[in-house]
Amino acid sequence: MTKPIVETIDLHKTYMSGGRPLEVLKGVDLKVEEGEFMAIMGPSGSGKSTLLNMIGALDRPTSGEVHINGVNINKLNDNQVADLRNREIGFIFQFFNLIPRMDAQGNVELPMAIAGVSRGDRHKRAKELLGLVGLGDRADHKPSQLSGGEQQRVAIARALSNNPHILLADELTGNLDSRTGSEIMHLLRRLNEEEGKTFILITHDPAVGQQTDRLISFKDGIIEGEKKFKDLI
Amino acid sequence: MNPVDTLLIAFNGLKGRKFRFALNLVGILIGCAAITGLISITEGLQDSVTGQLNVFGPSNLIIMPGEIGSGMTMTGGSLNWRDLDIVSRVDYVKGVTPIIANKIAEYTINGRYFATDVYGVERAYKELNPNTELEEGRNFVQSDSAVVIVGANIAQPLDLDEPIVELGDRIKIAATVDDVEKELTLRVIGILKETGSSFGANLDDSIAIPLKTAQQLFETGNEFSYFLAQADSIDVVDEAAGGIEEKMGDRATVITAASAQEQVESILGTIQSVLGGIAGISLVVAGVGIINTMTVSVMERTKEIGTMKALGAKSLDVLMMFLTEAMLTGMIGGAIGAGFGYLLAGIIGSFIDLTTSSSIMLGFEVVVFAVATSIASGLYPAYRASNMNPVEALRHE
Ligand SMILES: Nc1ncnc2c1ncn2[C@@H]1O[C@H](COP(=O)(O)OP(=O)(O)OP(=O)(O)O)[C@@H](O)[C@H]1O
Ligand SMILES: [Mg+2]
Repeated sequence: MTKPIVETIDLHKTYMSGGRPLEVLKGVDLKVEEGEFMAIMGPSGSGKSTLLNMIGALDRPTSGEVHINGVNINKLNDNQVADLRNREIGFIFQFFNLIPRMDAQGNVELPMAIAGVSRGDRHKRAKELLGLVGLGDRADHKPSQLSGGEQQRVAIARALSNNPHILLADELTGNLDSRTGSEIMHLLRRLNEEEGKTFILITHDPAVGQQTDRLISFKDGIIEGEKKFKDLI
Repeated sequence: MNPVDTLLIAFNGLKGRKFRFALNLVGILIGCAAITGLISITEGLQDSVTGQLNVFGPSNLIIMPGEIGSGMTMTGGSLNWRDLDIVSRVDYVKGVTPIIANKIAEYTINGRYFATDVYGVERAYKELNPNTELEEGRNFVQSDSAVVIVGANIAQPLDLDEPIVELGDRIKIAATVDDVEKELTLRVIGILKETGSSFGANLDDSIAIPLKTAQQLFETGNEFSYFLAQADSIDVVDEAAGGIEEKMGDRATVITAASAQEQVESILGTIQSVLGGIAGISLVVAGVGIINTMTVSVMERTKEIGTMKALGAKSLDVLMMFLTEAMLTGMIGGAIGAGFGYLLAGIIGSFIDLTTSSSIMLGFEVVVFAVATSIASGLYPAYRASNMNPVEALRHE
């Protein structure tokens, strides 16, 4: 078996809330192979977002390890972790989180600007990506001039801009109607199949869960079980 | 992140909050306009005073009756022939001459009415005041009585292309002494070169008549307005002044170019520090405004900062982004402020008839100062932004 692209080992996260420790992750062991298209489902407050933030190197575990591409991110300093997020991970948020002052083009270019990609290169790449998500003619539109589904497409283009291997999406269809939601799911599936991107989604929507290859059910800070819809080759 | 991109993003950030940016800009701008204006004006004043003092001559001394109290108020006394004798015997005094000043004469030329300052001086005046040079004609001689030497602007008023007074012309002047109007016809024997205004006397806009003539016309008796003296050399001006003060006691005050300059500079210095303090306070207020606006804007953009960090922005990138916003505010506010300051100085200068000193360097310094103030004000909010935990920032609604 190949080395997993994401691996968590006995992952614990404890928050202090109101002076009392609140154990949110209670030993999560998860392996994700490159090219997987998977989802995590579970009740509200079970710690799904907390887990995804650990995988995305946004937060550090209380104990346990997170390996991305075989690298233990506990061993990286803050700047190295930022670089990892910038190049290896693409975040897609429930509320899109586009920068309202920047047009679609500017939003898609942002991670590349952070990476120090030259102006000409990133302009070209952002155009390509906007074309890929079906918004080639909306490059100069501000987020406020776009529908929710269109904004989420811009956010997907942004997440892809530095060509990361891992895409993390927390409730990305949670704020969209079901038709738009399924269009977005088709787009993700296409990116998974055509470009081999690894997707880890968090969802409340069983319909979304069922479109993935593997569905993990999460409860009270631990993985409760998993269902495979498609056997990996 | 590349500095150009940081700048573009910061600029974009400011564009998105035009109104608050404008408020901050106005804050900085007022402070900078005040500072630029004040410095231009006070430096202009200094230049102009220094210019006047130079005209006065570095080895000259003016002996005024009475004492100069605080605030340059003259108190009592007068000078007479005996005083002149005393001063002339003081060591290092090369020469001294009495002057009758603060008199007005009226006359009419070609139907135009003039009222001008009249000085009563001796032949020695021209020798002791190095700045009186004749364009035409001659100095007074002992036997002169009904003659006059006129200033450059009297011979040819500034608004005319042709002289209205020429050598040999006769001018009938009138003076009111003790409510009685007296008339006197004077023959023009000399026309002075333009000297600019000189400390104690504006020679260009006045006329000079022989001392005896002035004494008779204005009935001044044995009293003179002041004496003009000259020291043997520049090096002994202070010794001469000390000697005169010692002999005259509190009946006279001696002014030299250096002491006058000192006086003026100390007054200007006080003005400058008071006004500079006010301008400084307005910049501090502007700085507090920036701290306030930026703190609010960091709070508002908490989620955006979280997003940026999720996209891979480093703490330093976020810090630089906000500091760049502060820097831009300072730079734009400072530049516009300096521009307004020049304008303000120009307008005020034209009102008080002063050539202000508005150097490019001053504007540059003001901009640097404004940028420094803004960056200092932005430091704390920018640090808070850069130090945010990305997860908490993203949870922020
Ligand atoms: N910074 C924090 N400090 C204290 N408690 C926190 C913090 N972040 C999360 N929690 C708590 O941890 C628990 C899990 O939160 P998490 O956001 O991971 O849940 P979730 O499974 O994503 O829920 P949802 O489906 O509602 O998004 C919650 O009880 C939450 O209140
Ligand atoms: Mg969640």
